[in-house]
Amino acid sequence: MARELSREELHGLLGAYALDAVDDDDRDQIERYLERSPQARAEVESFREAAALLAHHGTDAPTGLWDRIAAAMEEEPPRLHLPSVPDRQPEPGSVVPLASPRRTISLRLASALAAVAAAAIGLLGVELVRENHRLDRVHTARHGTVVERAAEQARTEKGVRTATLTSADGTRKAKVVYLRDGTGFFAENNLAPLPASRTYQLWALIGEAKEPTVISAAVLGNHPGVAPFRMPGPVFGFLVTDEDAPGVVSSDRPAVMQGTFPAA
Amino acid sequence: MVCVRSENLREASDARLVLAIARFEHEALAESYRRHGGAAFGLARRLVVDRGLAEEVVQEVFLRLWNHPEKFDPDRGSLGSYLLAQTHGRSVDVVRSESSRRRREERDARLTAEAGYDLEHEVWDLTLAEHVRDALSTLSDGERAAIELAYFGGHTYREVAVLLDEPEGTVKSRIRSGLTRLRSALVDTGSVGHGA
Repeated sequence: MARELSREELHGLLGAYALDAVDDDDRDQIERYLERSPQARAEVESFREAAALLAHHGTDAPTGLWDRIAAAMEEEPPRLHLPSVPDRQPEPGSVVPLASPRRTISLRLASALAAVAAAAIGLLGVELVRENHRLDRVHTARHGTVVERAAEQARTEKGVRTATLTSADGTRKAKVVYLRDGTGFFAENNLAPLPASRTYQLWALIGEAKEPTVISAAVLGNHPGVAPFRMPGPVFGFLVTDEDAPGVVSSDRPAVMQGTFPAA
Repeated sequence: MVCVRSENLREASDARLVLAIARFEHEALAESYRRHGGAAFGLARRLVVDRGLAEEVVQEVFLRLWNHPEKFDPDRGSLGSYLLAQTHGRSVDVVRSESSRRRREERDARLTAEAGYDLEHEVWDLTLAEHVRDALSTLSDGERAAIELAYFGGHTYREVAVLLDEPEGTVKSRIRSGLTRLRSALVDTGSVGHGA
Protein backbone atom coordinates (compact mmCIF):
# COMPACT_ATOMS: atom_id res chain seq x y z
CA MET A 1 0.00 0.00 0.00
CA ALA A 2 1.32 3.46 -0.87
CA ARG A 3 2.59 5.77 1.82
CA GLU A 4 0.17 8.52 2.74
CA LEU A 5 1.48 11.76 1.27
CA SER A 6 1.52 14.99 3.23
CA ARG A 7 -0.31 18.06 2.00
CA GLU A 8 3.00 19.63 0.97
CA GLU A 9 3.96 16.53 -0.96
CA LEU A 10 0.59 16.44 -2.67
CA HIS A 11 0.87 20.09 -3.60
CA GLY A 12 4.35 19.48 -4.95
CA LEU A 13 2.99 16.80 -7.25
CA LEU A 14 0.34 18.97 -8.92
CA GLY A 15 2.59 19.79 -11.86
CA ALA A 16 3.38 16.16 -12.53
CA TYR A 17 -0.29 15.28 -12.08
CA ALA A 18 -1.32 17.93 -14.63
CA LEU A 19 0.96 16.18 -17.15
CA ASP A 20 -0.38 12.71 -16.28
CA ALA A 21 3.08 11.95 -14.93
CA VAL A 22 2.21 10.34 -11.62
CA ASP A 23 1.72 6.72 -10.66
CA ASP A 24 -1.72 5.33 -9.95
CA ASP A 25 -1.21 5.34 -6.17
CA ASP A 26 -0.13 8.97 -6.20
CA ARG A 27 -2.97 9.87 -8.53
CA ASP A 28 -5.60 8.50 -6.18
CA GLN A 29 -4.25 10.54 -3.30
CA ILE A 30 -3.90 13.68 -5.41
CA GLU A 31 -7.45 13.39 -6.68
CA ARG A 32 -8.75 13.08 -3.15
CA TYR A 33 -6.74 16.20 -2.32
CA LEU A 34 -8.16 18.02 -5.34
CA GLU A 35 -11.68 17.21 -4.20
CA ARG A 36 -11.14 19.26 -1.07
CA SER A 37 -8.91 22.00 -2.46
CA PRO A 38 -10.35 24.38 -5.06
CA GLN A 39 -7.03 26.20 -5.11
CA ALA A 40 -5.20 23.02 -6.08
CA ARG A 41 -7.79 22.28 -8.76
CA ALA A 42 -7.32 25.73 -10.20
CA GLU A 43 -3.57 25.26 -10.20
CA VAL A 44 -3.85 21.97 -12.10
CA GLU A 45 -6.13 23.59 -14.65
CA SER A 46 -3.70 26.45 -15.12
CA PHE A 47 -0.86 24.00 -15.69
CA ARG A 48 -2.91 22.09 -18.23
CA GLU A 49 -3.80 25.30 -20.01
CA ALA A 50 -0.13 26.12 -20.39
CA ALA A 51 0.80 22.57 -21.40
CA ALA A 52 -1.94 22.55 -24.02
CA LEU A 53 -0.16 25.32 -25.88
CA LEU A 54 2.90 23.14 -26.18
CA ALA A 55 0.78 20.50 -27.87
CA HIS A 56 -0.34 22.69 -30.74
CA HIS A 57 1.48 22.08 -33.91
CA GLY A 58 0.76 22.07 -37.57
CA THR A 59 -0.75 18.64 -37.96
CA ASP A 60 -4.08 18.54 -39.70
CA ALA A 61 -6.56 16.04 -38.44
CA PRO A 62 -6.54 13.04 -40.78
CA THR A 63 -8.95 13.01 -43.65
CA GLY A 64 -11.76 10.68 -42.88
CA LEU A 65 -11.38 10.73 -39.11
CA TRP A 66 -14.21 13.17 -38.71
CA ASP A 67 -16.37 10.99 -40.94
CA ARG A 68 -15.75 8.07 -38.60
CA ILE A 69 -16.55 10.18 -35.56
CA ALA A 70 -19.74 11.40 -37.20
CA ALA A 71 -20.69 7.86 -38.13
CA ALA A 72 -20.10 6.72 -34.54
CA MET A 73 -22.34 9.53 -33.33
CA GLU A 74 -25.09 8.17 -35.54
CA GLU A 75 -24.52 4.54 -34.68
CA GLU A 76 -24.27 4.98 -30.97
CA PRO A 77 -26.69 7.58 -29.70
CA PRO A 78 -25.46 9.36 -26.62
CA ARG A 79 -26.12 7.37 -23.51
CA LEU A 80 -28.54 8.93 -21.15
CA HIS A 81 -28.24 8.75 -17.45
CA LEU A 82 -31.82 9.25 -16.56
CA PRO A 83 -32.99 8.99 -13.02
CA SER A 84 -35.20 6.03 -12.26
CA VAL A 85 -38.20 6.65 -14.40
CA PRO A 86 -41.70 6.08 -13.17
CA ASP A 87 -44.46 4.92 -15.45
CA ARG A 88 -45.53 8.48 -15.92
CA GLN A 89 -42.29 9.92 -17.16
CA PRO A 90 -43.10 13.30 -18.67
CA GLU A 91 -42.51 13.71 -22.31
CA PRO A 92 -42.50 16.93 -24.18
CA GLY A 93 -45.12 16.41 -26.80
CA SER A 94 -47.78 15.20 -24.45
CA VAL A 95 -51.05 17.05 -24.35
CA VAL A 96 -52.43 17.76 -20.95
CA PRO A 97 -55.75 18.75 -19.57
CA LEU A 98 -54.96 21.53 -17.23
CA ALA A 99 -56.84 23.65 -14.79
CA SER A 100 -56.02 27.16 -13.73
CA PRO A 101 -57.09 28.50 -10.35
CA ARG A 102 -59.84 30.41 -12.01
CA ARG A 103 -60.95 28.24 -14.83
CA THR A 104 -60.30 24.93 -16.37
CA ILE A 105 -58.62 25.01 -19.72
CA SER A 106 -60.11 22.19 -21.68
CA LEU A 107 -57.48 21.08 -24.07
CA ARG A 108 -57.99 18.89 -27.04
CA LEU A 109 -56.80 18.61 -30.53
CA ALA A 110 -59.51 20.46 -32.29
CA SER A 111 -58.55 19.87 -35.86
CA ALA A 112 -56.75 17.51 -38.13
CA LEU A 113 -54.01 20.06 -38.46
CA ALA A 114 -53.53 20.16 -34.73
CA ALA A 115 -53.49 16.38 -34.65
CA VAL A 116 -50.79 16.30 -37.24
CA ALA A 117 -48.84 18.89 -35.31
CA ALA A 118 -49.20 16.92 -32.11
CA ALA A 119 -48.09 13.76 -33.83
CA ALA A 120 -45.03 15.54 -35.10
CA ILE A 121 -44.30 16.84 -31.64
CA GLY A 122 -44.85 13.35 -30.30
CA LEU A 123 -42.18 12.04 -32.61
CA LEU A 124 -39.91 14.71 -31.31
CA GLY A 125 -40.79 13.85 -27.78
CA VAL A 126 -38.20 11.20 -27.11
CA GLU A 127 -35.44 13.31 -28.57
CA LEU A 128 -36.58 16.34 -26.62
CA VAL A 129 -36.63 14.41 -23.37
CA ARG A 130 -33.11 13.17 -24.09
CA GLU A 131 -32.01 16.66 -24.97
CA ASN A 132 -33.54 18.14 -21.86
CA HIS A 133 -31.80 15.59 -19.70
CA ARG A 134 -28.48 16.34 -21.37
CA LEU A 135 -29.06 20.01 -20.78
CA ASP A 136 -29.98 19.21 -17.19
CA ARG A 137 -26.68 17.40 -16.79
CA VAL A 138 -24.79 20.30 -18.30
CA HIS A 139 -26.71 22.64 -16.06
CA THR A 140 -26.02 20.64 -12.93
CA ALA A 141 -22.37 20.13 -13.72
CA ARG A 142 -21.79 23.82 -14.19
CA HIS A 143 -23.65 24.99 -11.13
CA GLY A 144 -25.71 26.99 -13.58
CA THR A 145 -22.93 29.14 -14.89
CA VAL A 146 -23.07 28.16 -18.54
CA VAL A 147 -26.83 28.15 -18.69
CA GLU A 148 -27.09 31.43 -16.86
CA ARG A 149 -24.63 33.03 -19.23
CA ALA A 150 -26.43 31.54 -22.20
CA ALA A 151 -29.73 32.87 -20.90
CA GLU A 152 -28.23 36.31 -20.49
CA GLN A 153 -26.85 36.13 -23.98
CA ALA A 154 -30.20 34.97 -25.30
CA ARG A 155 -31.84 38.16 -24.07
CA THR A 156 -29.80 40.13 -26.56
CA GLU A 157 -30.48 37.89 -29.54
CA LYS A 158 -32.42 39.17 -32.48
CA GLY A 159 -36.05 38.07 -32.41
CA VAL A 160 -36.05 37.08 -28.76
CA ARG A 161 -39.40 37.18 -26.97
CA THR A 162 -39.93 37.30 -23.25
CA ALA A 163 -43.02 36.14 -21.40
CA THR A 164 -43.65 37.22 -17.84
CA LEU A 165 -45.39 34.48 -15.89
CA THR A 166 -47.40 35.59 -12.90
CA SER A 167 -49.33 33.78 -10.20
CA ALA A 168 -53.03 34.52 -9.73
CA ASP A 169 -52.36 36.70 -6.70
CA GLY A 170 -49.45 38.42 -8.40
CA THR A 171 -46.87 37.47 -5.79
CA ARG A 172 -44.96 34.88 -7.81
CA LYS A 173 -43.25 35.81 -11.04
CA ALA A 174 -40.88 34.35 -13.57
CA LYS A 175 -39.61 35.21 -16.99
CA VAL A 176 -39.26 32.92 -19.95
CA VAL A 177 -36.83 33.97 -22.64
CA TYR A 178 -37.70 32.33 -25.94
CA LEU A 179 -35.73 32.37 -29.16
CA ARG A 180 -36.90 31.98 -32.70
CA ASP A 181 -35.33 28.56 -33.08
CA GLY A 182 -37.36 27.14 -30.21
CA THR A 183 -34.68 27.39 -27.56
CA GLY A 184 -35.91 28.88 -24.34
CA PHE A 185 -34.81 29.64 -20.82
CA PHE A 186 -36.91 29.63 -17.72
CA ALA A 187 -35.13 32.56 -16.16
CA GLU A 188 -35.42 34.67 -13.08
CA ASN A 189 -38.16 33.50 -10.74
CA ASN A 190 -39.27 33.78 -7.14
CA LEU A 191 -41.02 30.45 -6.87
CA ALA A 192 -41.14 29.07 -3.35
CA PRO A 193 -39.03 25.92 -2.88
CA LEU A 194 -41.02 22.69 -2.82
CA PRO A 195 -40.40 19.51 -0.85
CA ALA A 196 -38.10 17.04 -2.56
CA SER A 197 -41.06 14.88 -3.48
CA ARG A 198 -42.46 17.60 -5.70
CA THR A 199 -41.30 19.52 -8.74
CA TYR A 200 -42.28 22.49 -10.78
CA GLN A 201 -43.02 21.72 -14.40
CA LEU A 202 -43.01 24.15 -17.29
CA TRP A 203 -45.59 23.81 -20.05
CA ALA A 204 -45.67 25.58 -23.40
CA LEU A 205 -48.91 26.94 -24.83
CA ILE A 206 -48.95 26.28 -28.54
CA GLY A 207 -51.27 27.19 -31.35
CA GLU A 208 -54.32 29.33 -30.86
CA ALA A 209 -55.01 31.10 -27.60
CA LYS A 210 -58.64 30.05 -27.74
CA GLU A 211 -57.80 26.39 -27.88
CA PRO A 212 -54.17 25.89 -27.10
CA THR A 213 -52.19 22.72 -27.11
CA VAL A 214 -50.27 22.41 -23.87
CA ILE A 215 -46.99 20.56 -24.03
CA SER A 216 -44.50 19.78 -21.32
CA ALA A 217 -41.40 21.85 -21.96
CA ALA A 218 -39.22 21.11 -18.95
CA VAL A 219 -39.19 19.68 -15.48
CA LEU A 220 -37.78 22.45 -13.34
CA GLY A 221 -37.07 20.73 -10.05
CA ASN A 222 -38.24 21.70 -6.61
CA HIS A 223 -36.14 24.85 -6.38
CA PRO A 224 -35.79 26.13 -9.92
CA GLY A 225 -32.93 28.20 -11.14
CA VAL A 226 -32.31 29.12 -14.74
CA ALA A 227 -33.30 26.17 -16.89
CA PRO A 228 -32.94 25.70 -20.63
CA PHE A 229 -35.50 23.93 -22.74
CA ARG A 230 -36.34 23.41 -26.36
CA MET A 231 -39.82 23.69 -27.71
CA PRO A 232 -40.13 24.51 -31.38
CA GLY A 233 -43.52 25.48 -32.66
CA PRO A 234 -46.00 28.35 -32.55
CA VAL A 235 -45.56 28.94 -28.83
CA PHE A 236 -47.48 31.90 -27.48
CA GLY A 237 -47.10 31.44 -23.75
CA PHE A 238 -46.14 29.25 -20.82
CA LEU A 239 -47.43 28.09 -17.51
CA VAL A 240 -45.95 26.34 -14.51
CA THR A 241 -47.53 23.63 -12.40
CA ASP A 242 -46.56 21.98 -9.14
CA GLU A 243 -46.35 18.21 -9.65
CA ASP A 244 -45.20 15.03 -8.00
CA ALA A 245 -41.51 14.49 -8.71
CA PRO A 246 -40.12 13.70 -11.21
CA GLY A 247 -42.94 15.23 -13.25
CA VAL A 248 -45.98 14.07 -15.11
CA VAL A 249 -47.16 13.31 -18.59
CA SER A 250 -50.45 15.07 -18.19
CA SER A 251 -51.79 17.28 -15.49
CA ASP A 252 -55.00 18.53 -14.05
CA ARG A 253 -53.25 20.68 -11.51
CA PRO A 254 -53.90 24.40 -11.42
CA ALA A 255 -51.27 26.67 -12.88
CA VAL A 256 -48.95 28.16 -10.30
CA MET A 257 -48.19 30.92 -12.73
CA GLN A 258 -48.78 31.62 -16.38
CA GLY A 259 -48.20 34.24 -19.00
CA THR A 260 -48.01 34.94 -22.69
CA PHE A 261 -45.77 36.93 -24.95
CA PRO A 262 -46.75 40.57 -25.29
CA ALA A 263 -48.40 41.43 -28.57
CA ALA A 264 -45.87 42.36 -31.22
CA MET B 1 -28.43 32.37 -28.28
CA VAL B 2 -27.64 28.85 -27.30
CA CYS B 3 -28.63 27.24 -30.53
CA VAL B 4 -25.44 27.63 -32.51
CA ARG B 5 -26.24 27.91 -36.15
CA SER B 6 -23.83 26.83 -38.79
CA GLU B 7 -23.37 30.36 -40.04
CA ASN B 8 -22.00 31.60 -36.73
CA LEU B 9 -20.34 28.47 -35.44
CA ARG B 10 -16.90 29.84 -36.00
CA GLU B 11 -17.52 32.69 -33.60
CA ALA B 12 -19.27 30.60 -30.97
CA SER B 13 -17.69 30.53 -27.53
CA ASP B 14 -16.62 27.26 -25.95
CA ALA B 15 -19.57 27.40 -23.59
CA ARG B 16 -22.03 27.92 -26.41
CA LEU B 17 -20.52 25.11 -28.43
CA VAL B 18 -20.78 22.68 -25.57
CA LEU B 19 -24.33 23.69 -24.80
CA ALA B 20 -25.16 23.08 -28.46
CA ILE B 21 -23.48 19.68 -28.23
CA ALA B 22 -25.69 18.94 -25.25
CA ARG B 23 -28.58 19.61 -27.60
CA PHE B 24 -27.33 16.99 -30.05
CA GLU B 25 -26.21 19.53 -32.62
CA HIS B 26 -23.70 17.63 -34.71
CA GLU B 27 -22.42 20.84 -36.23
CA ALA B 28 -21.21 22.00 -32.83
CA LEU B 29 -19.09 18.91 -32.36
CA ALA B 30 -17.84 19.31 -35.92
CA GLU B 31 -16.79 22.86 -35.10
CA SER B 32 -15.01 21.63 -31.97
CA TYR B 33 -13.22 19.11 -34.13
CA ARG B 34 -12.33 21.75 -36.70
CA ARG B 35 -10.78 23.89 -33.99
CA HIS B 36 -9.00 21.23 -31.98
CA GLY B 37 -8.92 17.99 -33.95
CA GLY B 38 -5.55 18.71 -35.54
CA ALA B 39 -3.84 19.56 -32.27
CA ALA B 40 -5.41 16.57 -30.55
CA PHE B 41 -4.27 14.27 -33.31
CA GLY B 42 -0.79 15.77 -33.31
CA LEU B 43 -0.45 15.27 -29.58
CA ALA B 44 -1.81 11.73 -29.70
CA ARG B 45 0.52 10.91 -32.56
CA ARG B 46 3.49 12.25 -30.62
CA LEU B 47 2.67 10.02 -27.70
CA VAL B 48 1.40 6.79 -29.22
CA VAL B 49 3.31 7.08 -32.51
CA ASP B 50 1.06 4.68 -34.38
CA ARG B 51 -1.26 6.63 -36.64
CA GLY B 52 -4.17 4.26 -36.23
CA LEU B 53 -3.90 4.31 -32.46
CA ALA B 54 -3.70 8.10 -32.49
CA GLU B 55 -6.87 8.26 -34.56
CA GLU B 56 -8.60 5.94 -32.12
CA VAL B 57 -7.59 8.18 -29.24
CA VAL B 58 -8.90 11.30 -30.96
CA GLN B 59 -12.12 9.57 -31.93
CA GLU B 60 -12.62 8.45 -28.34
CA VAL B 61 -11.95 11.94 -27.00
CA PHE B 62 -14.46 13.63 -29.28
CA LEU B 63 -17.09 10.96 -28.75
CA ARG B 64 -16.60 11.43 -25.03
CA LEU B 65 -17.33 15.12 -25.48
CA TRP B 66 -20.41 14.16 -27.47
CA ASN B 67 -21.62 11.68 -24.88
CA HIS B 68 -20.65 13.65 -21.80
CA PRO B 69 -20.65 17.36 -22.58
CA GLU B 70 -21.24 18.07 -18.90
CA LYS B 71 -17.69 16.97 -18.15
CA PHE B 72 -16.35 20.17 -19.68
CA ASP B 73 -16.49 23.16 -17.38
CA PRO B 74 -15.66 26.41 -19.16
CA ASP B 75 -14.92 28.04 -15.84
CA ARG B 76 -11.98 25.72 -15.39
CA GLY B 77 -10.27 26.28 -18.71
CA SER B 78 -10.74 26.40 -22.45
CA LEU B 79 -12.28 23.67 -24.54
CA GLY B 80 -8.95 23.21 -26.30
CA SER B 81 -7.16 22.70 -23.01
CA TYR B 82 -9.80 20.24 -21.90
CA LEU B 83 -9.69 18.21 -25.11
CA LEU B 84 -5.91 18.14 -25.16
CA ALA B 85 -5.78 17.06 -21.52
CA GLN B 86 -8.22 14.29 -22.39
CA THR B 87 -6.14 13.36 -25.40
CA HIS B 88 -2.98 13.37 -23.35
CA GLY B 89 -4.45 11.24 -20.59
CA ARG B 90 -5.88 8.69 -22.98
CA SER B 91 -2.66 8.60 -24.99
CA VAL B 92 -0.63 8.04 -21.85
CA ASP B 93 -2.92 5.16 -20.94
CA VAL B 94 -2.23 3.64 -24.33
CA VAL B 95 1.49 4.29 -24.10
CA ARG B 96 1.68 2.73 -20.67
CA SER B 97 -0.20 -0.37 -21.62
CA GLU B 98 1.90 -3.45 -21.95
CA SER B 99 1.08 -3.89 -25.60
CA SER B 100 2.57 -0.51 -26.41
CA ARG B 101 5.75 -0.85 -24.46
CA ARG B 102 7.79 -2.02 -27.38
CA ARG B 103 6.50 0.72 -29.65
CA ARG B 104 7.32 3.27 -27.01
CA GLU B 105 10.84 2.06 -26.63
CA GLU B 106 11.30 2.26 -30.36
CA ARG B 107 9.96 5.77 -30.36
CA ASP B 108 12.21 6.85 -27.50
CA ALA B 109 15.19 5.52 -29.37
CA ARG B 110 14.14 7.40 -32.48
CA LEU B 111 13.58 10.68 -30.63
CA THR B 112 16.92 10.40 -28.92
CA ALA B 113 18.57 9.95 -32.27
CA GLU B 114 16.87 12.97 -33.82
CA ALA B 115 19.23 15.90 -33.97
CA GLY B 116 17.92 19.29 -32.96
CA TYR B 117 14.72 17.96 -31.48
CA ASP B 118 13.25 20.46 -29.09
CA LEU B 119 9.96 21.85 -27.92
CA GLU B 120 10.02 24.86 -30.18
CA HIS B 121 9.60 22.67 -33.21
CA GLU B 122 6.27 21.51 -31.93
CA VAL B 123 4.60 24.85 -31.98
CA TRP B 124 2.52 25.64 -34.97
CA ASP B 125 0.94 29.04 -35.03
CA LEU B 126 3.51 31.67 -35.86
CA THR B 127 2.41 34.26 -33.37
CA LEU B 128 1.67 31.72 -30.73
CA ALA B 129 4.92 29.98 -31.56
CA GLU B 130 6.80 33.14 -30.79
CA HIS B 131 5.03 33.54 -27.49
CA VAL B 132 5.58 29.92 -26.53
CA ARG B 133 9.20 30.10 -27.64
CA ASP B 134 9.72 33.15 -25.46
CA ALA B 135 7.99 31.42 -22.57
CA LEU B 136 10.12 28.33 -23.02
CA SER B 137 13.23 30.45 -22.96
CA THR B 138 12.42 31.37 -19.38
CA LEU B 139 12.79 27.73 -18.32
CA SER B 140 16.01 26.18 -17.16
CA ASP B 141 17.37 23.27 -19.17
CA GLY B 142 16.39 20.93 -16.36
CA GLU B 143 12.83 22.20 -16.34
CA ARG B 144 12.51 21.89 -20.10
CA ALA B 145 13.85 18.37 -20.15
CA ALA B 146 11.59 17.23 -17.33
CA ILE B 147 8.47 18.73 -18.90
CA GLU B 148 9.32 17.38 -22.33
CA LEU B 149 9.87 13.83 -21.12
CA ALA B 150 6.75 13.88 -18.98
CA TYR B 151 4.40 15.57 -21.44
CA PHE B 152 5.57 14.36 -24.81
CA GLY B 153 7.22 11.18 -23.61
CA GLY B 154 4.32 10.07 -21.45
CA HIS B 155 6.69 9.20 -18.61
CA THR B 156 5.93 9.45 -14.93
CA TYR B 157 8.08 11.82 -12.95
CA ARG B 158 9.76 8.81 -11.38
CA GLU B 159 10.67 7.50 -14.82
CA VAL B 160 11.87 10.95 -15.81
CA ALA B 161 14.10 10.97 -12.75
CA VAL B 162 15.67 7.71 -13.89
CA LEU B 163 16.07 8.94 -17.45
CA LEU B 164 17.72 12.17 -16.33
CA ASP B 165 19.58 10.56 -13.47
CA GLU B 166 18.19 13.09 -11.05
CA PRO B 167 16.45 12.66 -7.68
CA GLU B 168 12.66 12.24 -7.93
CA GLY B 169 12.10 15.29 -5.76
CA THR B 170 14.20 17.43 -8.07
CA VAL B 171 12.27 16.31 -11.13
CA LYS B 172 8.94 16.83 -9.39
CA SER B 173 9.97 20.35 -8.43
CA ARG B 174 11.29 21.15 -11.88
CA ILE B 175 8.06 20.11 -13.54
CA ARG B 176 6.05 22.28 -11.20
CA SER B 177 8.35 25.29 -11.29
CA GLY B 178 8.69 24.98 -15.06
CA LEU B 179 4.96 24.89 -15.60
CA THR B 180 4.50 27.83 -13.24
CA ARG B 181 7.12 29.84 -15.09
CA LEU B 182 5.72 28.81 -18.47
CA ARG B 183 2.23 29.80 -17.54
CA SER B 184 3.34 33.09 -16.07
CA ALA B 185 5.19 33.98 -19.24
CA LEU B 186 2.23 32.96 -21.40
CA VAL B 187 -0.13 35.05 -19.30
CA ASP B 188 2.16 38.03 -19.84
CA THR B 189 1.82 37.62 -23.60
CA GLY B 190 -1.92 37.07 -23.41
CA SER B 191 -1.65 33.52 -24.76
CA VAL B 192 -3.55 32.17 -21.77
CA GLY B 193 -5.93 33.97 -19.50
CA HIS B 194 -5.37 35.07 -15.97
CA GLY B 195 -6.60 32.64 -13.42
CA ALA B 196 -5.17 30.51 -10.72
